[in-house]
Amino acid sequence: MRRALLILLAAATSSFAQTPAANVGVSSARAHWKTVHNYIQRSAEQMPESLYSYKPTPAVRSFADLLGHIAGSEFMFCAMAKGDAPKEEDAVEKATKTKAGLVQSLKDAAAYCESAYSISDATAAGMADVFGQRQTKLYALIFNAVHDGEHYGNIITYLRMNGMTPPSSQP
Amino acid sequence: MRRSLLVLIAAASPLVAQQQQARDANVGVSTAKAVWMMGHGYVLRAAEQVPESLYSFKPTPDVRSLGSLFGHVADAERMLCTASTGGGVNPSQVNEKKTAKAELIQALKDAAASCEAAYAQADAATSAPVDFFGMKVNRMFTLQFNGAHTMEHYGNIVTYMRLKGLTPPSSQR
Repeated sequence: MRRALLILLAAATSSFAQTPAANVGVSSARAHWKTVHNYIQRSAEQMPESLYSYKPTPAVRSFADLLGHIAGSEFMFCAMAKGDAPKEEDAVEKATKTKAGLVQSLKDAAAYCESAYSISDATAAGMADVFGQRQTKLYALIFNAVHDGEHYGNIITYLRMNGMTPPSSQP
Repeated sequence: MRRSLLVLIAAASPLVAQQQQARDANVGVSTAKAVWMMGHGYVLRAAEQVPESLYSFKPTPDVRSLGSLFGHVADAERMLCTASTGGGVNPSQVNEKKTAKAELIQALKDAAASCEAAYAQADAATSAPVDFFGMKVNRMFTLQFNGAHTMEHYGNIVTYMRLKGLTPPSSQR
């Protein structure tokens, strides 16, 4: 149990070490987002395409739909922090179903988000439009990371139910 | 699909709005608190919603049971919030080993209470270093990690609940 937390921390602190210490808000958000995004990316690569349509029960998203939802949400939240016009959150989920396409969509979302996580804490205190509500850009950046975390929590269970070890529990 | 995100945002935003109005200067801590409270609130509501007969449920043998997940969240919140106030890192599995519904609900409530001081500090204090299992981080990192960690396990809980035909709190109207 403790080992899983330590692996998560080791991954997050590795990202954390590469960011300026002065901007503790954004650098922490970036570290957590990078960690969980990378676990999701590795999960997408690890899962065989034959299981992309897997869902543990009919009421939930398939594995492929989860990946599309995550990529689409990352584009949306990072656009909010950057001041770009956000695309619809379900744009990727609706359009992309193949393993190759979803692995690439996750990479594209990460590349798009890099500049969002490069702003200073002072800039991140500026306001963003989040679904019609005025929130700070930092809110969008932290929310992006924990939203990824929530769905990585789904993915872990999907992987375990198919006899696979999720990336965060691998040596 | 978009609705579930809106429900999540709606849960977190009143908290962050109140806190930001009260303490504009501390947007880092107030935002971290709002996001953590959203996740914690969902986990607590899930603990209350799931019947005790399902606390031992695990979808496959090599994962935590629902009850163990609730206890693990409580243990980790205590550890991370203590670390965020300079109290050192003291990992524990005391709550994870509990099995009774009432005890685990209380453990989650106690963990939230133990986090109050951590989320009451000023942004300026959160650059203080934290020695975390030999790694150098800062208090802001541990405050945000607390929210991320709770939400990750809420993601496990969501799937467990769906497998048992229950609608998780974040999808309820």
